[in-house]
Amino acid sequence: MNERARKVEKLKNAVIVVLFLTTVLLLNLTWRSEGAAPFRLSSVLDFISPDVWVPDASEFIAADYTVCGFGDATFSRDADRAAADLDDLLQEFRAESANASFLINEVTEQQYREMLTGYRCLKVVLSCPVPFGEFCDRNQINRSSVFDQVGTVSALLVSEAAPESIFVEGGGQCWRFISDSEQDLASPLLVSLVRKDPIYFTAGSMLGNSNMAILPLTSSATLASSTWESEAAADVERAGRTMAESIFGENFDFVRRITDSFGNVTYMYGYGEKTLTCLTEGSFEYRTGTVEGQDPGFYNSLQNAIAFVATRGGWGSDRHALGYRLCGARTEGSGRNRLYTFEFAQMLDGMPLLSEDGPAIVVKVCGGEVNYYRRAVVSAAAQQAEEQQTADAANVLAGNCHLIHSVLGGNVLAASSDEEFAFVANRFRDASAGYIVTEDSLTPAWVITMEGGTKFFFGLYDAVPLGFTRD
Amino acid sequence: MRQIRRIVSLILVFAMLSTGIVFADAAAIVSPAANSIVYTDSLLVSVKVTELKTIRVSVYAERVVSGDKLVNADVSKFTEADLKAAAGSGKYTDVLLGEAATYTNTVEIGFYTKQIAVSPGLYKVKAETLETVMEWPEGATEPVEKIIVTETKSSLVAVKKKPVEEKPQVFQNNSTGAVTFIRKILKGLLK
Amino acid sequence: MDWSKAKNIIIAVLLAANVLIGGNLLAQHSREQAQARQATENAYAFLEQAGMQVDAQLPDQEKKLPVLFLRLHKAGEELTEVRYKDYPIVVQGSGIGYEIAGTGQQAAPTIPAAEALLKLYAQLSAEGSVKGKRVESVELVYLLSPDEASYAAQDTASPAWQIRVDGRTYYVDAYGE
Repeated sequence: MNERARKVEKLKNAVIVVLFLTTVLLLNLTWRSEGAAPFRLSSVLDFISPDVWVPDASEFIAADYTVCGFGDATFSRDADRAAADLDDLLQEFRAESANASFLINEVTEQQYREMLTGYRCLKVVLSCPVPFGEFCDRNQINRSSVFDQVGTVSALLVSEAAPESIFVEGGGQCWRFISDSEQDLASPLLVSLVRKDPIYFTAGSMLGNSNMAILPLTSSATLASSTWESEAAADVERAGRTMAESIFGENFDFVRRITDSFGNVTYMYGYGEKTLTCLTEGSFEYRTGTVEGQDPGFYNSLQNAIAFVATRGGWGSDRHALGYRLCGARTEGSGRNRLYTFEFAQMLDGMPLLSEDGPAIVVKVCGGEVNYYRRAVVSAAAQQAEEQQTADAANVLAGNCHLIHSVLGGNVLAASSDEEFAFVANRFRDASAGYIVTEDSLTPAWVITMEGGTKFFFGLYDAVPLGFTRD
Repeated sequence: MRQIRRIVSLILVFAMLSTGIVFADAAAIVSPAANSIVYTDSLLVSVKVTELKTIRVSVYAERVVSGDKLVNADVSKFTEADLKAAAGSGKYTDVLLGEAATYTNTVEIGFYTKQIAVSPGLYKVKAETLETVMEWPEGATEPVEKIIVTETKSSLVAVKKKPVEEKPQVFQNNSTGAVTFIRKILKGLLK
Repeated sequence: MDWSKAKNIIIAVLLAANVLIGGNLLAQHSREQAQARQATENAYAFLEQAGMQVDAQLPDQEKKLPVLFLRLHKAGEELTEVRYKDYPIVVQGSGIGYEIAGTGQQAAPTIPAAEALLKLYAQLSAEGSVKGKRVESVELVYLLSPDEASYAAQDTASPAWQIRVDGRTYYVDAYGE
């Protein structure tokens, strides 16, 4: 009997296990039939997993460099102190806006030239232009309706020529914000002016025109060429799949996948409403059809772009050092069709990596939604060489003026090289060092920025033309 | 006859001027601007070269005799007119600062640039366009190279040190004292 | 504690749960099948009323299908007609050969034939009158419409309803987009 009872109990155990399993199975079938899709990580990526690092937009709206003017038409340029100078300037602006009101005047070219060359001054240049209204709100600067005259801000400055004022540069204009408290706002900032090699002069004084952009007299560098590979080089196909899964989410298994004879893969959702192209070189390009919607503003659009990238390729694993810099921001259209274009340059040891196709990451946002995303991120290690003289920046411009002139669409009937040079010298805006991504290597280069944003690349040490961006 | 001579002279003068146009200047001093007054202790020398030529750039301190020494000219009261008058006046002695530098332009347009530390005084920047010619010295069996100066440009500049309070005002006051006073009163009332 | 009694109760509860859930599933399945049949009948009736004659047998069972990845051959090479399970593969364009390179990892439900037919009706009636038209066949196929200008080596075929009306062939996306 005991033996029989034991067998019965064992049978009951088995029955319980079987019934339990069938219950689970039937419940699963019930959930499936109710349309619950199988769990996919990609479907929750939009929710942003806590492991995904999403930088804040304010980390990208940063100071690029500081220009110190010594009142004798000489300048120095320093990237290391820019962040601190911007903080100090904003603090002054913020404090003054809380206690006083501002009168705003536009600064003439002549006044601008005099206050920069004839008086000690400090100018903090941002990495890209930002809508001034949002910039003030973001930095807790009280603003009145007179602030609306200023569209975008690309630099802030103070000058001994008008110590009670703060100057805002943007959109090719300069505005003087005169505080009615008449407090000396410039001196506390100018006390920290320090000369740093190399010495800079205005392009006007070196080249013989009125251009106020600055050029170094001489310079040296330790940059050396280095090899690079795409971030997806280890497994381009897998990287493409991962990117496609993150973009198409649960629809990934049903998108059209086209592979061309070169191995480039295009994923297409619907009738081309969304496409993702994965090139064999390891770059990606995502597009959707026209999107419109309520404009959330510059900073929110930028944050949306940052969050989108964070879950589709990411911003790198080092959460403490941002490996990217917002190097360009444009706005087109208005209202529900306002389109923001954000360009992010990859940084290598503090130097930007650029290419003829543009910076590493480009994102376009309309109505808060990303409708374009291009990613061509490289993996490289900076190489250093012995310090050597770079090619003279003024002669890089002068020696290549014919090339620059023809690319920028200058008057092709210009008979003389003098006319070509004058055209180029007037449109020059910035000269800085960086790397250009060529087919074989990262090459140290002079990055010459012209009016309108076109960039030209020349060898840093030999001034050989290396290419230019095509807008 | 006289008439014919006049016509021929005119034609010759015209021809000479034309050759002057054809053979335009190879070098031009961009900085310092000629007869300019600057307030700095580091002078930018910039020379633009528009031909495939070599130039020689020299910077001279224009000094005056004081006792048995040569000292910097006192330019504290100099005006532009004084600078114009100073050129070629013969009152000053050229003292070369450092060494003359040569620069060879290998492209269509090139710049020679240099920064010179200066103290208040009068300075002259000279740019000479050089050319190498072959010459047969008397008695020589083969020609020798000789460097000649085909063109000279110079620019006088007065370097001053101006007290801050004498600097011209860049920005005019936007409102008179009375208007500012009234604005402040109104602002205080409306707060 | 009397484990034996407890086990009896657990068995009874689990049995009841199984019966309930199983019954619910069966009932749901029957309901869906009945709805599908009803939809098909309604479609027949609607189209006949609209003047369209449906000679084809409309399948009423729902299918779940993945996409198909096809390796394409250059024009001029021997054409081979391939099927995926019972479904013909239709590649539009001339002289394009293909072979199956793989399938999508997941299968998605396709829309019923009746719904596809109604979508086609809407398209045709927008173009003109559908009176007198005859639906000759309705079949689920895999359709690929490669871009002739591109140099695709591999492309994706998706399920589509192939509907022949008066000798003309139409395709309706079977995923319902």
